[in-house]
Formats: sequence, C-alpha cells, structure tokens
Amino acid sequence: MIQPLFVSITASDLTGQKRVRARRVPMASTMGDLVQDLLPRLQLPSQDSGGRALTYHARVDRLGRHAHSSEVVGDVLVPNDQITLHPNVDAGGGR
Amino acid sequence: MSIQHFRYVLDLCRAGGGAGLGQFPVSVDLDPVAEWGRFAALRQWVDPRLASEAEIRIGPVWHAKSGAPYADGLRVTAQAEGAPSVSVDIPASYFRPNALRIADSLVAEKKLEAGEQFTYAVLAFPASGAENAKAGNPLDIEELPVPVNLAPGSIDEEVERSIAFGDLTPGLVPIFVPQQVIEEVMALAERAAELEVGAVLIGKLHRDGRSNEVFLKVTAQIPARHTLSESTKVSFTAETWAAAQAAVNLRRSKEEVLGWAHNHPARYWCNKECAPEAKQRCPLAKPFFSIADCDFHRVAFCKPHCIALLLTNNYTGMKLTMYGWDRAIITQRGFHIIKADAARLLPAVETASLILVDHHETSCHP
Repeated sequence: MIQPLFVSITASDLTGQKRVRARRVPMASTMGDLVQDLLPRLQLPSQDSGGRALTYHARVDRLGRHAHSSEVVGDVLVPNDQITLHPNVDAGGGR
Repeated sequence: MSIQHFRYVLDLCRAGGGAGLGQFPVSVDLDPVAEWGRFAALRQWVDPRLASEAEIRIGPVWHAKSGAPYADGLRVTAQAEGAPSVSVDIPASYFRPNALRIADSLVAEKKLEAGEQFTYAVLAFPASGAENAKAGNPLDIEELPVPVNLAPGSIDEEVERSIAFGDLTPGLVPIFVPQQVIEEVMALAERAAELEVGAVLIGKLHRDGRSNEVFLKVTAQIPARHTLSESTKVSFTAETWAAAQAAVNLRRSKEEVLGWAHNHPARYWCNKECAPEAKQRCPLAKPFFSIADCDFHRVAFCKPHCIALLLTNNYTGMKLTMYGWDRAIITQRGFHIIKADAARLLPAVETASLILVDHHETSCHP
C-alpha cells in the first residue's frame, strides 16, 4: 500500500478564535516542526518580550492528548485532524 | 494576518535636544493591532462573518509636521466588500516598550546613564519584497475566518443590576462580571496564601438589542488545574488549558474562554521585619501587571475583548484590578460587577501600574 507523504489538518489557538487549515504537512516532519510553522499564522509569538522561547504543545482532539514535540506527524495525525496549540506560559509578580 | 508593508526604526536622542544615540530597527508585533482593527469592524458593522473575513491593512500615520518617514503612530484599516472601511489610529506609544528595551541595552553598553531621560522618534520605510518573503511560511496554510458568536442581550438590563467598578473608559466594550465570580477568585487567592494561583474566565460576547453595541459578560471562573505555583509566579501548562476547555465543554452552555485571573500575594513578598508604616508604603503592595503578566495576556488572550483580573493581597487587604486591550495596548480598565447581594462587601477600587522592562507604566504591550 502506498503511504501518503502529506496530511491536511486544521489548527486553532486555545480560545478557538483563530483557526488555520494546513495542507501538505509532511508526514515525516515532527510535531515540533509543525507547531513552529503554525505559530506565525495563528498570530502566536514564539518568544516572550524578553526574547525567551515559548513552548507550545499540540493537543490532538481525536486522541484527547497532547503530542510530544519529537513525535512524527505520520505517527500522530490522520487527514482532517483538528489540533489546538496550548502554551506553557508564566504569569506573576516576579518579572 | 497583518502583512508587514513597512519596516520600523526608532531614532533615540538624549532628552532636551541632546545628542543622537542612533537609529535602531525594531521588530514590531503587529498582531494585536490587526486584531484591534478587526474588532473595530465587528463593532461598527455588527456582522461577525464580514468582520472575520475583512482585509486588514496596517501602516504609519505620518507625522503632521515632519512628514514621512516620521510616524506619529499606526493606522489599522479593515475593509470588506459592501461595507464602509473602518480605521483606528494606534498611538506612537505602541513603540515605547521597544524604545525602553533599546535604552536598557544602551545603558548596559554604557552609552546611556541609568535613569537618564531620552526621546524617541518612529520612522517607517516601505518593506522590500525580500523582507515580506522572509515572513512567508513553507507550509501551505490558509487562514479560516472564525466569526465571533454574539448572543443577544441588553446593556441597560445589565447596568441596572450592576455597580461600576473602577474608571469606565468611554469607547471600550462594557464588561460585566458577577459578584459570585469575583468572590470565588478572591477565595482562591486567600486560600493560596503565599502562592500565586490562577483561573480561567469564561462567558459570552453579546450584542445589545437596542444599540447594537457589543458587550462581554463573564459567567463563571474555572480554577486553573495542573499549574506550577510559586510565591512570585504561576505557570499555566498545556494541561491547564486542556482541563479548562474540558470544563467548558461539560457545561454545554456555549461559553468561550474570555480571560484569566491570578493573584499577587504581595504581603508575603515583604520583609517581615519592616515597620507597619513601611509595609503600608511598600511599592510592591500596589497592584501592578508585570512584564510576565503582559506576555501571558499577549500569548493566551490576544483578542481585543479578552480580560485579566488581578487580586493583590497586601497589608491593607485584597485589591481587585482588571486589565484589557485598548487600541492594541494592555491597560487597566473598569468594569461592572453584577451585584447579587448589596450586603456583601466588595474590594476597594485601586489604581495600578503596568511594568515594562522594569519601568512602571499605566499601559503596556508586550
């Protein structure tokens, strides 16, 4: 059987108010690569104001879990999957 | 999506017409500006679908005296077929955080004295094709318009059963928060004692049936789970957001995540040996939205209607302040408390500051 090389998915931010469809996502790429490519189109910053990198995790709605950034797209996603990007983000009076 | 048609440069000089410190290219986060333009279109057109599909353009407002390339701010314009275009001007202070960061670098390089005053001018130049191409993306990604859900409602009815809390800035979307929600987040903060904790605020955007004005009504708070709490920091993890969304889904009330709440346990930050008078005067006891708080709001709640509640527990009691977007800049704002029981006390109104690069301000954008 011929395996597809690409997959199409939709992605949204945590509020669901920003959404994109990504076509031709390489099955061989990692979820971390996919998240990094999606950030600017979802208008999500990749760094905080101090230049520190922000971490986002892709939650795969169908699986009900967050994918690890090192997981391979072809092992996690199927066509028309919906993922939501969830940031690890700090607040507080310390900075 | 905001397209970078211009690149921006800041020209810094010592105060009082002093020597020039140099010109510095800045990378400006224009997404909050684009969001503000789209939201202005929603409020004017009252057509969520049209507003979600509007073309957004952002450019400089040329300085009235100096002219191009000097800019006096930004102008965001939303355009859609069959609707009048909507423009909003964003003040030049949008660039102030960039200027402060450059000044801090100059201080570190000993080119500027710590605390020395300086001025900055904003310059804008057309972006080259190469710069626009750099912003491209290797994937084939199409943005999908997400029309805002507007539930029916009445501002007059909400105002009638509410009390105003803080300064209500004319022109900003009215916000209503039930007293029950306020009390619940205050109780969270009190129980947490010396730790910072958080919550997610949920509710709905409404359209007033009489004026067509958009307003926001919080319906509940969901205590943030799977967080990492310290005395001066609370970390919302990916699991926090997933748990909050699961709770929203369970309620089956078509609510949306509208904002967040957290606390600053300031009384625990102070030196225990300080005299009571010193504790009263302690600057840490005054509510402030920190750099991290601004970053958090930008990352998680970039939509113009999104809000943040801050509980500051200091020696004079629990202080409540709200923050939100005003022309793409985070600022303290007033709101309405839907007061179910007049006999129950509310916290006192307090003026806060926002911290940008260690400088206290009245507004900020990350």
